[in-house]
Amino acid sequence: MTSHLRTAILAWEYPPRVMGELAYYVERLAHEVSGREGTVHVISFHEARPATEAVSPKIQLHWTHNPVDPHLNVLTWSLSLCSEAQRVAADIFYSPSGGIDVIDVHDWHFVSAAVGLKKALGLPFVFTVHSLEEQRSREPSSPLSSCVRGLEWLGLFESAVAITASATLKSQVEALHNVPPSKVRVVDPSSPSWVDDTLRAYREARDLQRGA
Amino acid sequence: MPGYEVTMLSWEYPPRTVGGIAPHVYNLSRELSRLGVKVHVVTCDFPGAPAHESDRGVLVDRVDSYSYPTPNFATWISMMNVNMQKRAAEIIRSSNGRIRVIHAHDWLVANAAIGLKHMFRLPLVSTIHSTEKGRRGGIYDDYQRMISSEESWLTSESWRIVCCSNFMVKEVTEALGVRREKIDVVPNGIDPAPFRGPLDTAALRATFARPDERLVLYVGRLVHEKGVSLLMEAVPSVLRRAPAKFVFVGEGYLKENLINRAKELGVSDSVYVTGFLDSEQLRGLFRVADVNAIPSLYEPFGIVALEAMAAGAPIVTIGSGGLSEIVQNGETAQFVQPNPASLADGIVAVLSSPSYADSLRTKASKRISVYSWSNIASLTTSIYGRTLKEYDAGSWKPSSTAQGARGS
Repeated sequence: MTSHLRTAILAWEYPPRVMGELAYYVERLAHEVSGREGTVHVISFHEARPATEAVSPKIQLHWTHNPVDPHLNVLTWSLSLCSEAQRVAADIFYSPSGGIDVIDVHDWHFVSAAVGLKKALGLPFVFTVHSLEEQRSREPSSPLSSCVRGLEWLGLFESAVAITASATLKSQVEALHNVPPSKVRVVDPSSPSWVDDTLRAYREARDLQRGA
Repeated sequence: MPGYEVTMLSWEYPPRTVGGIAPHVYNLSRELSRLGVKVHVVTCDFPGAPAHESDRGVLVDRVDSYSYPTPNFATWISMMNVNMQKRAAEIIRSSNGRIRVIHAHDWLVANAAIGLKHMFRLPLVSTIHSTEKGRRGGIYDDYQRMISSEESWLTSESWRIVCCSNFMVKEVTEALGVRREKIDVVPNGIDPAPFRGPLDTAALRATFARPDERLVLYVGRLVHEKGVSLLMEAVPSVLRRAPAKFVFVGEGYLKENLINRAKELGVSDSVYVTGFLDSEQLRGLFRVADVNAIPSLYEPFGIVALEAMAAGAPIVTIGSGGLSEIVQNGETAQFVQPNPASLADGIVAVLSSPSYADSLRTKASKRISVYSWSNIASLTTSIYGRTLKEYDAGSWKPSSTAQGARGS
């Protein structure tokens, strides 16, 4: 099977909205994947950008706006945004010139969107874990952190394949969320094989879903 | 027979009954099923209730409603919606196109419903049972602003909106900025049969009143907007003119206040504040009451009036909100002004004239048929029918060549 993959990347940050390193990681990923495969649709969040921007002939940026305002916390914020991300992804899915073969969701914010798209439209997803709430949170035992961990677990459980950037993080993911080691791939962004390894995970996810 | 199927999303469904949505969705779904619309209810889990059941043609799925700690109720609702959407998506996908409408009940299921609408490109119908602004008498903080914003989002994403009364139509248009043309009015319903079974009325009556005393009943939450304090203030004036007992059924933050006020007014011997009663006892009380006082100051619909009408209890009411659409002054209820003196006069007017009380009873009993669940379900299928007709004529739907053109 050599047809080009059509990818949707879900990430809560993308330049010019930069919260941390994730924005630049996803930007680089979109360029690399679109260079070798089909169209890459990046679905992200920005309050002020237009709904769609073409970065290149093969990279489409889709900026979601939160339909609910104000919010109580990052959870209520991200979970209503997930419904909006589902709208955008569904519009790509149904577009005559669109289509999605695989979704790559980065960290927990858009996990619920990816799970819904899998259940509703049969779209496979890869869950790329950049860090864990357990490590990020100042109050890992708080109810808010507990909810985030619940979404991380959901992403790991429902994804076809999970990606971590290091063997250390892979071990932490497996230990914390009781994930079978065979599900998690280490894809090192500093390695020359980074793109190849990522695309291998994408194809594996697509093929697993086809066989499901 | 319509032939299509509907997914109903509701955060409560019996035996999980928090408020009025559970009995509404329960009765509506059963009657829709009788009319040939198969209903799939997706709702929250409840201890002892099966995760999946088929009840008289209604398929019920109770999802893991997320039992871990959450920072607050609204965050729990967001987490619950993740699981609700996941299960509903599986159900709709496996229906192979037979499910054609998604029906959401209140903002509590907005996240799940709106995502499902877009992913399946199915029309969304929403029933707005009440609004945050109406429930709290205004919007005062960010918590409420968020809920109100969720309500606006749900209504803007809905093909049609259902309200239970013209009063609620006004509230939804004003509080949420919805166009009137988008809204249909379908009242709440009632099943009168349980109010007509065998009952030892004399024995039940004797539990609360002597044979020479009349019985005045209040049923509802003991909160400000229900006007329950007005009724307590009216008690002495009624007692000066008619021997009576007053029974206050329900719970609420005014309970202690009411008990203390009865003492201050010197009427404790004539007042019962019972808390919650079981359904059978409550229906019996409606049947033996000589007056059902409904002094509500805010009432989106007023289902208590339907219960009184079904049971044959003459109604004395201020006629606020949706109540004025259910009952008519001098025909099916005695209307009064929102003050204790007028309320007392209204109660005495009914207690002192058996022929007037009988007339109110008879006319109310005839009117109740409008609120049968079969009528409510029939009105609802009309809304589904109109929605599907418009949807079928439009271009927004899943394309037969979904997934675009290959080979990009």
